[in-house]
Amino acid sequence: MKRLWIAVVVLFLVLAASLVNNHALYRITSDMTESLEQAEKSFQAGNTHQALLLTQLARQKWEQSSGYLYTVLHHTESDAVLVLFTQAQHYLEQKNPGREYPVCNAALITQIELLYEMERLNLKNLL
Amino acid sequence: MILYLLLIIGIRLMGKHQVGELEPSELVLAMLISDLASVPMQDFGIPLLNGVIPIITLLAITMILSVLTVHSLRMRTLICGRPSIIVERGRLKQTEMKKNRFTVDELMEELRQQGVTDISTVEFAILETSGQLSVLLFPEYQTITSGRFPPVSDGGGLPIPLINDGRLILENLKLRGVDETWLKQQISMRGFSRYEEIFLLTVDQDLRVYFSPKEVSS
Repeated sequence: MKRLWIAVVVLFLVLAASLVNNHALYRITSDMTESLEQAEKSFQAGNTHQALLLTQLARQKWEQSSGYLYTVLHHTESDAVLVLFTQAQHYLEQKNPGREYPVCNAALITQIELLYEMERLNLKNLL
Repeated sequence: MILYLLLIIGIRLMGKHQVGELEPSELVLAMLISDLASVPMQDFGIPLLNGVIPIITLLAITMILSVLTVHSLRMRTLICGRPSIIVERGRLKQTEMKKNRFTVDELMEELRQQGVTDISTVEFAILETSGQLSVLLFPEYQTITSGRFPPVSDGGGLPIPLINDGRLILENLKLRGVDETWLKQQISMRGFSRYEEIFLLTVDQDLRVYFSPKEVSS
């Protein structure tokens, strides 16, 4: 019976770890998307410099958590976020970012939201 | 290396009997964990945890099932199935064979592998839950032990099936040097007239016949 209880405890630990991971991903991604949405608003208000700072701040948050994210997520998904961050920053550093930045930023926000979405415990993901 | 060590630990935890004899649930486990372990090994873009977590989960579930099957007979029957008696006192149990989708050819092959050529010498043939066939011969055909004389070989050679599940095997008929008239005579001597009524009919070199009619389905 000892083995049974060990196995049950292991299963509960796996379940708990997946819930903690879910929560951690939500926290990390929501922080980043919030900064990026603010950057978008600043850009719409004509403050490109503020938008750039907020995008850099979001990237810093990403890099702080990159070790964890690369451990739990597929590397292609994480790499895609990094590429979009670089693109968004590049557009904002240009004199006339035009329409390219909003499109790139929207893609970046969606990609980050998808990181959390694909790890959520719901029927859609299970099936 | 981490995944390899995890697999070794997992298989060790499952117990010794599972390494040699795979029950259906263990076969499923072996297939799943080998696949799960190979994916992160091949692709560095997939985190190691994607292999480790499902393997640990599967091992834990298998551990729970294996403990439950030890403690509960019902659970054991549900997970592992139960042994089936395929031959009882020299008679084929066709219902059991059908239930287990075990053909006459497979039975003959298994018996030959165990050095048995004549079904009528088999007291019991039991299809174990691991898929292995245990063959118990009548005492007079068993191997010599300290208290028993060796069985006297009565020749006869290898019996070959002439009728397998209602179908006539013409090649074997020629091989045995008999014709359909002789075969029909043998069948009518046993109160039957059509091949379709016969499940298995074998003939050895001395033309001794083993006969098993089809069971009438209720």
